[in-house]
Amino acid sequence: MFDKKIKFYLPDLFTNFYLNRFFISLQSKYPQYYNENITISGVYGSFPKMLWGIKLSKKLCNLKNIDLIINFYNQNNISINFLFYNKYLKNEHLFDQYSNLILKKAHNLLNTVILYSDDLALYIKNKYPKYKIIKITTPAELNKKNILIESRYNNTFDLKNIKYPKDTYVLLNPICNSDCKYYENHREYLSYSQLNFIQKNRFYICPLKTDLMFYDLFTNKNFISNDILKEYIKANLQNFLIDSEIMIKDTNVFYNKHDIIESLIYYLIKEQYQAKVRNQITKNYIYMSQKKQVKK
Amino acid sequence: MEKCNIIIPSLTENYVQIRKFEEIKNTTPEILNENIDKIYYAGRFPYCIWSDVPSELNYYSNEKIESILEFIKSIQSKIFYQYTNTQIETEHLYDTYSNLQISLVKDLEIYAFVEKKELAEYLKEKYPKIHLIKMAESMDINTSMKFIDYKYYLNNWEKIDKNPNEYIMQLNSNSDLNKEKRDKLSTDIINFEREIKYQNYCKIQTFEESKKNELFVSNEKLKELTQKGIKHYIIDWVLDDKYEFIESIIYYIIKPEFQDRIRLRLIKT
Repeated sequence: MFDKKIKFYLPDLFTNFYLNRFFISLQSKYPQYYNENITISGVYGSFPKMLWGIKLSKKLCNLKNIDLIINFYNQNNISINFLFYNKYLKNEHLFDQYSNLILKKAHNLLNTVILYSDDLALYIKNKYPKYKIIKITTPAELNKKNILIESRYNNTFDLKNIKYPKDTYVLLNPICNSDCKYYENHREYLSYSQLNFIQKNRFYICPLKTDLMFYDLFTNKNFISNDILKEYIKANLQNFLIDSEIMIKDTNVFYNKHDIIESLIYYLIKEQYQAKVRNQITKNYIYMSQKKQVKK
Repeated sequence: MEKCNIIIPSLTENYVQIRKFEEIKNTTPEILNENIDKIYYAGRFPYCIWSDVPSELNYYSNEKIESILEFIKSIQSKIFYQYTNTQIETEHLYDTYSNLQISLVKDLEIYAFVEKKELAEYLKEKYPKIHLIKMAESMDINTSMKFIDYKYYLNNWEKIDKNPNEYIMQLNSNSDLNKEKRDKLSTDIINFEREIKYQNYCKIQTFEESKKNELFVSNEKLKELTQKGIKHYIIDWVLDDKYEFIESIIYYIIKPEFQDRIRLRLIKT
Protein backbone atom coordinates (compact mmCIF):
# COMPACT_ATOMS: atom_id res chain seq x y z
CA MET A 1 0.00 0.00 0.00
CA PHE A 2 2.86 2.38 0.80
CA ASP A 3 5.72 2.69 -1.65
CA LYS A 4 8.32 4.02 0.81
CA LYS A 5 9.39 2.74 4.21
CA ILE A 6 7.54 4.32 7.06
CA LYS A 7 7.55 4.00 10.84
CA PHE A 8 4.53 3.83 13.09
CA TYR A 9 4.41 4.67 16.77
CA LEU A 10 1.74 3.00 18.87
CA PRO A 11 -0.15 4.94 21.52
CA ASP A 12 -0.09 4.81 25.28
CA LEU A 13 2.95 2.78 26.22
CA PHE A 14 1.54 1.89 29.64
CA THR A 15 -2.26 1.63 29.41
CA ASN A 16 -2.12 -0.12 26.05
CA PHE A 17 0.82 -2.31 26.97
CA TYR A 18 -0.92 -5.63 26.26
CA LEU A 19 -2.38 -4.35 23.03
CA ASN A 20 0.94 -2.91 21.89
CA ARG A 21 2.69 -6.13 22.84
CA PHE A 22 0.18 -8.06 20.74
CA PHE A 23 0.78 -5.94 17.63
CA ILE A 24 4.55 -5.98 18.09
CA SER A 25 4.65 -9.77 18.48
CA LEU A 26 2.22 -10.24 15.61
CA GLN A 27 4.49 -8.31 13.29
CA SER A 28 7.43 -10.56 13.98
CA LYS A 29 5.32 -13.74 13.70
CA TYR A 30 3.13 -12.80 10.75
CA PRO A 31 4.78 -9.95 8.85
CA GLN A 32 2.58 -10.80 5.87
CA TYR A 33 -0.46 -9.41 7.76
CA TYR A 34 1.06 -5.95 7.80
CA ASN A 35 0.96 -3.35 5.10
CA GLU A 36 4.09 -3.31 3.00
CA ASN A 37 6.95 -1.04 3.95
CA ILE A 38 5.77 -0.35 7.46
CA THR A 39 7.41 -1.08 10.76
CA ILE A 40 6.28 -0.53 14.30
CA SER A 41 9.21 1.52 15.38
CA GLY A 42 8.12 2.76 18.75
CA VAL A 43 5.48 3.44 21.35
CA TYR A 44 4.68 6.75 22.91
CA GLY A 45 2.98 8.16 26.01
CA SER A 46 3.97 8.30 29.63
CA PHE A 47 3.59 6.30 32.81
CA PRO A 48 0.72 7.21 35.14
CA LYS A 49 1.24 10.30 37.20
CA MET A 50 4.43 11.40 35.53
CA LEU A 51 4.05 15.04 36.29
CA TRP A 52 5.35 16.24 32.96
CA GLY A 53 2.69 14.42 30.98
CA ILE A 54 -1.05 14.63 31.17
CA LYS A 55 -1.69 10.99 31.92
CA LEU A 56 -4.18 11.11 34.72
CA SER A 57 -4.27 8.27 37.16
CA LYS A 58 -4.95 7.64 40.79
CA LYS A 59 -2.20 5.13 41.17
CA LEU A 60 1.49 5.43 40.71
CA CYS A 61 2.88 2.57 38.69
CA ASN A 62 5.30 0.50 40.69
CA LEU A 63 8.86 0.55 39.48
CA LYS A 64 9.11 -3.20 38.95
CA ASN A 65 6.34 -3.03 36.35
CA ILE A 66 7.96 0.01 34.79
CA ASP A 67 11.19 -1.97 34.43
CA LEU A 68 9.35 -4.87 32.82
CA ILE A 69 7.59 -2.60 30.34
CA ILE A 70 10.72 -0.67 29.40
CA ASN A 71 12.67 -3.90 28.97
CA PHE A 72 10.01 -5.52 26.80
CA TYR A 73 9.90 -2.59 24.38
CA ASN A 74 13.63 -1.95 24.20
CA GLN A 75 14.60 -5.62 23.92
CA ASN A 76 12.30 -5.83 20.90
CA ASN A 77 14.03 -2.78 19.45
CA ILE A 78 10.92 -0.67 19.98
CA SER A 79 11.74 2.86 21.03
CA ILE A 80 9.98 4.47 23.95
CA ASN A 81 8.91 7.99 23.13
CA PHE A 82 7.92 9.77 26.30
CA LEU A 83 5.22 12.27 25.48
CA PHE A 84 5.34 15.20 27.89
CA TYR A 85 2.37 17.15 26.73
CA ASN A 86 2.04 19.36 29.77
CA LYS A 87 2.19 22.92 28.50
CA TYR A 88 2.36 24.63 31.86
CA LEU A 89 5.49 23.23 33.37
CA LYS A 90 7.58 25.59 35.43
CA ASN A 91 11.15 25.24 36.60
CA GLU A 92 10.02 23.90 39.95
CA HIS A 93 8.40 20.90 38.27
CA LEU A 94 11.61 19.73 36.63
CA PHE A 95 12.85 18.04 39.78
CA ASP A 96 9.85 15.78 40.22
CA GLN A 97 11.44 12.67 41.68
CA TYR A 98 9.06 10.13 40.15
CA SER A 99 9.41 11.45 36.59
CA ASN A 100 13.19 11.68 36.94
CA LEU A 101 13.46 8.10 38.21
CA ILE A 102 11.54 6.77 35.22
CA LEU A 103 13.58 8.81 32.78
CA LYS A 104 16.74 7.48 34.38
CA LYS A 105 15.51 3.90 33.89
CA ALA A 106 14.88 4.33 30.16
CA HIS A 107 17.94 6.48 29.50
CA ASN A 108 19.49 5.04 26.33
CA LEU A 109 20.05 6.03 22.74
CA LEU A 110 16.98 4.19 21.46
CA ASN A 111 14.45 6.26 23.37
CA THR A 112 13.20 9.79 22.85
CA VAL A 113 11.14 12.46 24.54
CA ILE A 114 8.47 14.48 22.80
CA LEU A 115 7.63 17.71 24.59
CA TYR A 116 6.32 21.26 24.59
CA SER A 117 8.35 22.95 27.27
CA ASP A 118 11.69 24.54 26.35
CA ASP A 119 12.76 24.46 29.98
CA LEU A 120 12.10 20.74 30.20
CA ALA A 121 13.92 20.18 26.90
CA LEU A 122 17.00 21.93 28.26
CA TYR A 123 16.81 20.07 31.55
CA ILE A 124 16.57 16.66 29.85
CA LYS A 125 19.29 17.54 27.37
CA ASN A 126 21.68 18.27 30.22
CA LYS A 127 20.67 15.55 32.63
CA TYR A 128 19.79 12.70 30.26
CA PRO A 129 21.81 13.44 27.13
CA LYS A 130 21.12 10.10 25.42
CA TYR A 131 17.49 10.97 24.74
CA LYS A 132 16.65 12.41 21.35
CA ILE A 133 14.38 15.40 21.93
CA ILE A 134 11.40 16.09 19.69
CA LYS A 135 9.65 19.40 20.08
CA ILE A 136 5.88 19.72 19.71
CA THR A 137 5.41 22.75 17.53
CA THR A 138 3.34 24.62 14.96
CA PRO A 139 3.82 24.98 11.18
CA ALA A 140 5.78 28.17 11.90
CA GLU A 141 8.77 25.95 12.69
CA LEU A 142 8.66 23.57 9.76
CA ASN A 143 12.27 24.41 8.98
CA LYS A 144 13.47 22.76 12.19
CA LYS A 145 14.72 19.23 12.83
CA ASN A 146 13.08 16.77 15.25
CA ILE A 147 9.63 18.25 15.48
CA LEU A 148 6.14 16.89 16.03
CA ILE A 149 3.64 19.13 14.33
CA GLU A 150 0.67 19.74 16.59
CA SER A 151 -2.14 17.62 15.20
CA ARG A 152 -4.60 20.47 14.98
CA TYR A 153 -2.52 21.76 12.04
CA ASN A 154 -2.65 18.48 10.10
CA ASN A 155 -3.62 19.04 6.48
CA THR A 156 -3.44 22.82 6.82
CA PHE A 157 0.08 23.52 5.58
CA ASP A 158 2.12 22.81 2.49
CA LEU A 159 4.13 19.64 2.98
CA LYS A 160 6.87 21.04 0.74
CA ASN A 161 7.74 23.51 3.50
CA ILE A 162 8.99 20.76 5.78
CA LYS A 163 12.75 21.05 5.67
CA TYR A 164 13.66 17.80 7.41
CA PRO A 165 10.80 15.42 6.55
CA LYS A 166 12.64 12.35 7.89
CA ASP A 167 12.95 14.03 11.27
CA THR A 168 9.39 15.30 11.39
CA TYR A 169 6.64 13.47 13.27
CA VAL A 170 2.91 13.59 12.61
CA LEU A 171 -0.03 12.44 14.72
CA LEU A 172 -2.49 10.78 12.38
CA ASN A 173 -5.91 10.65 13.99
CA PRO A 174 -6.52 13.45 16.47
CA ILE A 175 -9.88 13.60 18.13
CA CYS A 176 -10.00 17.39 18.34
CA ASN A 177 -10.64 19.63 15.37
CA SER A 178 -8.40 22.62 14.82
CA ASP A 179 -11.34 24.98 14.97
CA CYS A 180 -12.68 23.58 18.23
CA LYS A 181 -13.16 26.54 20.56
CA TYR A 182 -12.51 24.34 23.60
CA TYR A 183 -9.14 23.06 22.37
CA GLU A 184 -6.94 25.26 24.57
CA ASN A 185 -9.29 24.91 27.50
CA HIS A 186 -9.10 21.13 27.22
CA ARG A 187 -5.28 21.00 27.26
CA GLU A 188 -5.09 23.62 29.98
CA TYR A 189 -7.47 21.68 32.21
CA LEU A 190 -5.52 18.43 31.87
CA SER A 191 -2.17 20.14 32.41
CA TYR A 192 -3.41 22.01 35.47
CA SER A 193 -5.00 18.90 37.01
CA GLN A 194 -1.81 16.95 36.53
CA LEU A 195 0.47 19.55 38.07
CA ASN A 196 -1.80 20.08 41.05
CA PHE A 197 -2.58 16.42 41.72
CA ILE A 198 -6.27 17.01 41.27
CA GLN A 199 -8.24 13.80 41.30
CA LYS A 200 -11.85 14.86 41.51
CA ASN A 201 -13.35 15.57 38.07
CA ARG A 202 -9.92 14.95 36.61
CA PHE A 203 -11.33 14.07 33.21
CA TYR A 204 -12.17 16.91 30.95
CA ILE A 205 -15.81 16.73 29.97
CA CYS A 206 -15.96 18.29 26.56
CA PRO A 207 -18.86 20.77 26.36
CA LEU A 208 -19.55 19.53 22.86
CA LYS A 209 -20.60 16.23 24.41
CA THR A 210 -19.47 14.49 21.30
CA ASP A 211 -20.07 10.80 21.02
CA LEU A 212 -17.42 9.49 18.68
CA MET A 213 -16.01 6.32 17.37
CA PHE A 214 -12.92 5.86 15.27
CA TYR A 215 -14.76 6.00 11.95
CA ASP A 216 -16.35 9.34 12.87
CA LEU A 217 -12.89 10.89 12.86
CA PHE A 218 -12.73 10.55 9.07
CA THR A 219 -14.75 13.75 8.74
CA ASN A 220 -12.39 15.65 11.01
CA LYS A 221 -10.41 18.00 8.79
CA ASN A 222 -7.19 17.17 10.66
CA PHE A 223 -7.61 13.43 10.21
CA ILE A 224 -5.04 11.72 8.02
CA SER A 225 -6.62 8.79 6.25
CA ASN A 226 -4.54 6.21 4.42
CA ASP A 227 -5.14 8.09 1.16
CA ILE A 228 -3.94 11.38 2.62
CA LEU A 229 -1.07 9.55 4.31
CA LYS A 230 0.25 8.65 0.88
CA GLU A 231 0.68 12.37 0.20
CA TYR A 232 2.73 12.75 3.38
CA ILE A 233 4.86 9.79 2.39
CA LYS A 234 5.38 11.29 -1.06
CA ALA A 235 6.79 14.33 0.71
CA ASN A 236 9.30 11.98 2.39
CA LEU A 237 7.74 11.99 5.84
CA GLN A 238 8.18 8.68 7.59
CA ASN A 239 7.30 9.00 11.31
CA PHE A 240 3.64 8.63 12.18
CA LEU A 241 1.99 8.45 15.58
CA ILE A 242 -1.38 6.74 15.94
CA ASP A 243 -3.56 8.45 18.55
CA SER A 244 -5.61 6.57 21.12
CA GLU A 245 -7.93 9.28 22.31
CA ILE A 246 -11.63 8.90 21.69
CA MET A 247 -14.63 10.45 23.36
CA ILE A 248 -17.77 8.77 24.53
CA LYS A 249 -20.76 10.85 25.35
CA ASP A 250 -21.69 11.45 28.98
CA THR A 251 -19.09 9.13 30.37
CA ASN A 252 -15.64 9.55 31.71
CA VAL A 253 -14.21 7.07 29.28
CA PHE A 254 -11.78 8.74 26.96
CA TYR A 255 -9.96 5.66 25.86
CA ASN A 256 -11.92 2.86 24.35
CA LYS A 257 -9.98 -0.27 23.54
CA HIS A 258 -12.13 -1.22 20.57
CA ASP A 259 -11.62 2.14 18.90
CA ILE A 260 -7.89 1.90 19.47
CA ILE A 261 -7.85 -1.63 18.05
CA GLU A 262 -9.79 -0.37 15.06
CA SER A 263 -7.38 2.49 14.44
CA LEU A 264 -4.34 0.24 14.68
CA ILE A 265 -5.88 -2.29 12.32
CA TYR A 266 -6.82 0.46 9.87
CA TYR A 267 -3.27 1.82 9.59
CA LEU A 268 -1.22 -1.32 10.05
CA ILE A 269 -3.00 -4.38 8.69
CA LYS A 270 -3.71 -5.36 5.10
CA GLU A 271 -7.40 -5.33 4.27
CA GLN A 272 -7.62 -9.07 3.69
CA TYR A 273 -6.27 -9.81 7.18
CA GLN A 274 -8.16 -7.16 9.12
CA ALA A 275 -11.10 -9.39 10.10
CA LYS A 276 -8.76 -12.15 11.21
CA VAL A 277 -6.62 -9.86 13.36
CA ARG A 278 -9.68 -8.14 14.84
CA ASN A 279 -11.09 -11.49 15.77
CA GLN A 280 -7.84 -12.72 17.26
CA ILE A 281 -7.28 -9.63 19.33
CA THR A 282 -10.84 -9.49 20.61
CA LYS A 283 -10.50 -13.06 21.84
CA ASN A 284 -7.16 -12.18 23.35
CA TYR A 285 -8.70 -9.26 25.24
CA ILE A 286 -11.60 -11.26 26.54
CA TYR A 287 -9.08 -13.77 27.86
CA MET A 288 -6.97 -11.02 29.46
CA SER A 289 -9.91 -9.33 31.15
CA GLN A 290 -11.24 -12.67 32.46
CA LYS A 291 -7.79 -13.41 33.87
CA LYS A 292 -7.75 -10.02 35.58
CA GLN A 293 -11.20 -10.62 37.07
CA VAL A 294 -10.14 -13.99 38.46
CA LYS A 295 -7.11 -12.31 40.05
CA LYS A 296 -9.31 -9.70 41.70
CA MET B 1 -1.55 19.23 88.10
CA GLU B 2 0.82 20.16 85.27
CA LYS B 3 -0.59 19.19 81.90
CA CYS B 4 1.11 17.94 78.75
CA ASN B 5 0.42 17.75 75.03
CA ILE B 6 0.52 14.43 73.21
CA ILE B 7 1.39 14.13 69.53
CA ILE B 8 -0.18 11.13 67.84
CA PRO B 9 1.61 9.87 64.73
CA SER B 10 0.45 8.08 61.56
CA LEU B 11 -2.19 10.65 60.74
CA THR B 12 -2.87 9.26 57.29
CA GLU B 13 -2.63 5.54 58.07
CA ASN B 14 -5.02 5.82 61.00
CA TYR B 15 -7.08 8.76 59.81
CA VAL B 16 -10.40 6.95 60.24
CA GLN B 17 -9.61 6.03 63.85
CA ILE B 18 -8.34 9.53 64.54
CA ARG B 19 -11.58 11.08 63.33
CA LYS B 20 -13.56 8.71 65.50
CA PHE B 21 -11.31 9.42 68.46
CA GLU B 22 -11.80 13.17 68.04
CA GLU B 23 -15.53 12.69 67.88
CA ILE B 24 -15.50 10.66 71.12
CA LYS B 25 -13.17 13.15 72.79
CA ASN B 26 -15.40 16.09 71.94
CA THR B 27 -18.62 14.49 73.09
CA THR B 28 -17.16 12.93 76.25
CA PRO B 29 -14.14 14.99 77.39
CA GLU B 30 -14.24 13.34 80.81
CA ILE B 31 -12.60 10.20 79.39
CA LEU B 32 -9.23 11.94 79.00
CA ASN B 33 -6.50 11.51 81.59
CA GLU B 34 -6.23 14.57 83.79
CA ASN B 35 -2.64 15.26 82.78
CA ILE B 36 -3.55 15.65 79.08
CA ASP B 37 -3.94 19.15 77.75
CA LYS B 38 -3.95 19.07 73.92
CA ILE B 39 -3.62 16.41 71.29
CA TYR B 40 -1.85 17.05 68.01
CA TYR B 41 -1.32 14.84 64.98
CA ALA B 42 1.80 13.99 63.08
CA GLY B 43 2.64 12.22 59.85
CA ARG B 44 3.10 12.89 56.20
CA PHE B 45 1.06 12.27 53.09
CA PRO B 46 1.99 9.17 51.09
CA TYR B 47 4.86 9.50 48.65
CA CYS B 48 6.42 12.44 50.37
CA ILE B 49 10.04 11.57 49.70
CA TRP B 50 11.25 13.74 52.57
CA SER B 51 9.72 11.29 54.99
CA ASP B 52 10.92 7.83 55.99
CA VAL B 53 7.46 6.36 56.40
CA PRO B 54 6.39 3.61 53.98
CA SER B 55 3.46 4.40 51.68
CA GLU B 56 0.73 2.51 49.96
CA LEU B 57 0.72 2.66 46.18
CA ASN B 58 -1.91 5.37 45.84
CA TYR B 59 -0.85 8.96 46.10
CA TYR B 60 -3.20 11.41 47.79
CA SER B 61 -4.97 13.84 45.55
CA ASN B 62 -4.95 17.54 46.22
CA GLU B 63 -8.56 17.34 47.45
CA LYS B 64 -7.88 14.49 49.85
CA ILE B 65 -4.91 16.30 51.41
CA GLU B 66 -6.99 19.45 51.74
CA SER B 67 -9.82 17.61 53.45
CA ILE B 68 -7.46 16.10 56.03
CA LEU B 69 -5.87 19.49 56.67
CA GLU B 70 -9.33 21.00 56.99
CA PHE B 71 -10.13 18.42 59.65
CA ILE B 72 -6.97 19.32 61.61
CA LYS B 73 -7.98 22.96 61.39
CA SER B 74 -11.52 22.22 62.53
CA ILE B 75 -10.28 20.61 65.74
CA GLN B 76 -7.97 23.60 66.34
CA SER B 77 -4.94 21.39 66.25
CA LYS B 78 -1.55 21.73 64.57
CA ILE B 79 0.06 19.57 61.93
CA PHE B 80 3.43 17.94 62.57
CA TYR B 81 5.05 16.79 59.34
CA GLN B 82 7.58 14.05 59.60
CA TYR B 83 10.46 14.82 57.26
CA THR B 84 12.95 12.40 58.75
CA ASN B 85 14.31 10.76 55.64
CA THR B 86 18.02 10.36 56.24
CA GLN B 87 19.08 10.28 52.60
CA ILE B 88 17.83 13.62 51.31
CA GLU B 89 20.16 15.42 48.96
CA THR B 90 19.83 18.75 47.21
CA GLU B 91 18.05 17.31 44.17
CA HIS B 92 15.27 15.95 46.39
CA LEU B 93 14.42 19.30 47.90
CA TYR B 94 12.45 20.41 44.87
CA ASP B 95 10.25 17.32 44.61
CA THR B 96 6.91 18.69 43.46
CA TYR B 97 4.64 16.43 45.44
CA SER B 98 6.50 16.98 48.73
CA ASN B 99 6.42 20.75 48.23
CA LEU B 100 2.75 20.66 47.29
CA GLN B 101 1.90 19.07 50.64
CA ILE B 102 3.22 22.14 52.41
CA SER B 103 1.75 24.69 50.06
CA LEU B 104 -1.72 23.22 50.66
CA VAL B 105 -1.52 24.03 54.37
CA LYS B 106 -3.44 27.23 54.98
CA ASP B 107 -4.28 28.90 58.31
CA LEU B 108 -2.74 26.06 60.21
CA GLU B 109 0.43 25.97 62.29
CA ILE B 110 2.99 23.58 60.77
CA TYR B 111 5.78 21.90 62.63
CA ALA B 112 8.27 19.65 60.89
CA PHE B 113 10.62 17.03 62.26
CA VAL B 114 13.78 17.23 60.18
CA GLU B 115 16.95 15.26 60.17
CA LYS B 116 19.00 16.58 57.27
CA LYS B 117 20.54 20.02 57.35
CA GLU B 118 19.96 20.56 53.61
CA LEU B 119 16.22 20.11 54.08
CA ALA B 120 16.10 22.19 57.25
CA GLU B 121 17.81 25.11 55.50
CA TYR B 122 15.58 24.75 52.46
CA LEU B 123 12.40 24.73 54.55
CA LYS B 124 13.58 27.70 56.61
CA GLU B 125 14.15 29.74 53.51
CA LYS B 126 11.19 28.67 51.40
CA TYR B 127 8.56 28.22 54.11
CA PRO B 128 9.62 30.54 56.95
CA LYS B 129 6.39 29.92 58.86
CA ILE B 130 7.27 26.28 59.53
CA HIS B 131 8.53 25.53 63.03
CA LEU B 132 11.38 23.09 62.69
CA ILE B 133 12.14 20.32 65.14
CA LYS B 134 15.54 18.68 64.95
CA MET B 135 16.83 15.56 66.60
CA ALA B 136 18.78 16.87 69.58
CA GLU B 137 22.40 17.56 68.68
CA SER B 138 21.85 16.19 65.20
CA MET B 139 22.79 19.27 63.18
CA ASP B 140 24.21 22.67 63.58
CA ILE B 141 21.12 24.76 62.88
CA ASN B 142 18.70 26.64 65.10
CA THR B 143 15.25 25.14 65.33
CA SER B 144 12.14 25.95 67.38
CA MET B 145 12.24 22.64 69.21
CA LYS B 146 14.34 19.54 69.71
CA PHE B 147 13.36 15.92 69.66
CA ILE B 148 14.71 13.61 72.38
CA ASP B 149 14.12 10.18 73.85
CA TYR B 150 14.15 9.12 77.49
CA LYS B 151 17.72 7.84 77.34
CA TYR B 152 18.93 11.18 76.05
CA TYR B 153 17.01 12.88 78.85
CA LEU B 154 18.71 10.74 81.51
CA ASN B 155 22.13 11.71 80.15
CA ASN B 156 21.37 15.40 79.66
CA TRP B 157 18.68 16.22 82.24
CA GLU B 158 20.51 19.19 83.73
CA LYS B 159 20.58 20.95 80.38
CA ILE B 160 17.03 19.97 79.45
CA ASP B 161 15.51 20.98 82.78
CA LYS B 162 16.71 24.55 82.23
CA ASN B 163 14.60 24.95 79.09
CA PRO B 164 12.14 22.04 79.10
CA ASN B 165 9.71 23.79 76.75
CA GLU B 166 12.15 23.40 73.87
CA TYR B 167 11.87 19.62 73.86
CA ILE B 168 9.57 16.96 72.47
CA MET B 169 10.09 13.57 74.06
CA GLN B 170 9.42 10.22 72.43
CA LEU B 171 7.25 8.12 74.72
CA ASN B 172 7.97 4.65 73.46
CA SER B 173 9.92 2.77 70.85
CA ASN B 174 8.53 -0.40 69.38
CA SER B 175 11.02 -1.17 66.62
CA ASP B 176 14.71 -1.87 66.25
CA LEU B 177 15.16 0.66 63.45
CA ASN B 178 18.81 1.63 63.75
CA LYS B 179 20.71 4.03 61.54
CA GLU B 180 21.61 1.41 58.95
CA LYS B 181 18.03 0.18 58.62
CA ARG B 182 16.65 3.69 58.47
CA ASP B 183 19.13 4.61 55.75
CA LYS B 184 17.99 1.64 53.67
CA LEU B 185 14.32 2.48 54.24
CA SER B 186 14.98 6.13 53.36
CA THR B 187 16.76 5.22 50.12
CA ASP B 188 13.95 2.90 49.06
CA ILE B 189 11.35 5.59 49.72
CA ILE B 190 13.25 8.11 47.62
CA ASN B 191 13.48 5.52 44.85
CA PHE B 192 9.77 4.62 44.97
CA GLU B 193 10.56 0.96 45.57
CA ARG B 194 7.50 -1.21 45.81
CA GLU B 195 6.10 -2.98 48.84
CA ILE B 196 7.87 -0.88 51.40
CA LYS B 197 6.66 -2.04 54.77
CA TYR B 198 8.24 -1.55 58.15
CA GLN B 199 8.23 -5.31 58.66
CA ASN B 200 10.72 -5.69 55.80
CA TYR B 201 13.20 -3.39 57.49
CA CYS B 202 12.93 -3.95 61.22
CA LYS B 203 11.43 -6.02 63.96
CA ILE B 204 8.31 -4.48 65.42
CA GLN B 205 7.12 -5.08 68.95
CA THR B 206 3.58 -4.88 70.11
CA PHE B 207 2.81 -1.93 72.33
CA GLU B 208 2.61 -4.30 75.29
CA GLU B 209 6.08 -5.67 74.55
CA SER B 210 7.51 -2.19 74.12
CA LYS B 211 6.60 -1.38 77.73
CA LYS B 212 9.60 -3.44 78.84
CA ASN B 213 12.09 -1.33 76.85
CA GLU B 214 14.42 1.00 78.66
CA LEU B 215 13.23 3.91 76.50
CA PHE B 216 9.61 3.38 77.48
CA VAL B 217 8.00 6.27 79.32
CA SER B 218 5.22 4.96 81.53
CA ASN B 219 2.30 7.11 82.63
CA GLU B 220 3.97 7.59 86.02
CA LYS B 221 7.22 8.76 84.41
CA LEU B 222 5.20 10.96 82.06
CA LYS B 223 3.63 12.73 85.03
CA GLU B 224 7.04 13.22 86.66
CA LEU B 225 8.56 14.63 83.48
CA THR B 226 5.57 16.92 83.00
CA GLN B 227 6.09 18.24 86.55
CA LYS B 228 9.66 19.06 85.52
CA GLY B 229 8.31 21.19 82.69
CA ILE B 230 8.49 19.04 79.54
CA LYS B 231 5.20 19.72 77.79
CA HIS B 232 5.34 17.84 74.48
CA TYR B 233 5.43 14.10 73.97
CA ILE B 234 5.13 11.97 70.91
CA ILE B 235 4.09 8.34 70.56
CA ASP B 236 6.47 6.27 68.40
CA TRP B 237 6.21 6.51 64.62
CA VAL B 238 6.12 2.84 63.75
CA LEU B 239 2.40 2.47 64.16
CA ASP B 240 0.90 1.40 60.90
CA ASP B 241 -0.93 -1.38 62.72
CA LYS B 242 -4.39 -0.19 63.70
CA TYR B 243 -4.59 -2.23 66.92
CA GLU B 244 -1.20 -1.16 68.25
CA PHE B 245 -2.08 2.40 67.39
CA ILE B 246 -5.29 2.19 69.39
CA GLU B 247 -3.53 0.49 72.33
CA SER B 248 -0.93 3.22 72.56
CA ILE B 249 -3.33 6.14 72.48
CA ILE B 250 -5.61 4.46 74.98
CA TYR B 251 -2.75 3.86 77.39
CA TYR B 252 -1.53 7.45 77.42
CA ILE B 253 -4.70 9.40 76.89
CA ILE B 254 -7.74 7.57 78.27
CA LYS B 255 -8.59 7.09 81.93
CA PRO B 256 -8.36 3.39 82.92
CA GLU B 257 -12.06 3.07 83.69
CA PHE B 258 -13.00 4.10 80.11
CA GLN B 259 -10.27 2.22 78.27
CA ASP B 260 -12.20 -0.96 77.40
CA ARG B 261 -15.19 0.88 76.00
CA ILE B 262 -13.11 3.31 73.95
CA ARG B 263 -10.90 0.51 72.62
CA LEU B 264 -13.94 -1.34 71.39
CA ARG B 265 -15.43 1.75 69.78
CA LEU B 266 -12.20 2.53 67.97
CA ILE B 267 -11.59 -1.03 66.83
CA LYS B 268 -15.09 -1.19 65.41
CA THR B 269 -14.47 1.93 63.33
